[in-house]
Amino acid sequence: MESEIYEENGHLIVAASGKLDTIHAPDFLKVLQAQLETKPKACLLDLTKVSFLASSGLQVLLSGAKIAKKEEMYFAVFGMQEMVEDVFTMSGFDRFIEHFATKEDALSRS
Amino acid sequence: MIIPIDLENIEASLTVANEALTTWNAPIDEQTKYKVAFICEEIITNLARHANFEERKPDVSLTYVFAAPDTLQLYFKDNSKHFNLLDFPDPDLSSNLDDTETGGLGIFLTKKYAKTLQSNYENGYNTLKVVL
Repeated sequence: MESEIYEENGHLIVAASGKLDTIHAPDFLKVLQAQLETKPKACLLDLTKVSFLASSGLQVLLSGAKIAKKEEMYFAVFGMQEMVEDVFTMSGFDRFIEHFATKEDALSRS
Repeated sequence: MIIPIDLENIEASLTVANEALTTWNAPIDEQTKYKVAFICEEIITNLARHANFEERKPDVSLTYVFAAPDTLQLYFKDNSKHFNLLDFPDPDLSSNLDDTETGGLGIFLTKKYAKTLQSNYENGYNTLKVVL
């Protein structure tokens, strides 16, 4: 699991890659929490390079969304691959975590 | 095809379980492979975290069976204390972010992906049959 962090148009973008599974999700959660502690105005999670999402990965997304809400930051995810999006949608997380197909969509609507 | 599962090394066991489908040239599409990987991850992780083997050495295996060209069966067998995963309550996935709790989420999603799930306890072994 590798992560990349950068800013674009005033948004903090945290990009994950590889598997968000029981082995790798805890490390990515630490990265995400550390970034959210800097209290950005908006945080976008780039899942373009995430090939596998398990329930442990969903819990990372939920934790990020909860922290962001508490700290009044904007939080969204974008770039999910087909089966990753399938897991995300089936979990019902699409009802309370904003999600976009592309980074451009996320930047323009947030 | 029977695959022994080492709960002390989940990552290696999951890798073997996933690669077995490829090396076996299993006639399944990429979506089904993803579902198999997802279910293996959730069931095996759940066993490693919550199963009570009492004083016994864990004996865990996964068996793949093709019952028909388009029907793959997974059998997760373990010698832990009798339990039924299907008794786990579904998580509270309310539409409200604050109230959402994810305990049992993996099992809930496994139920969604499987055509059928069946749990059985016999001769000291739990068997979970998952049909895709």
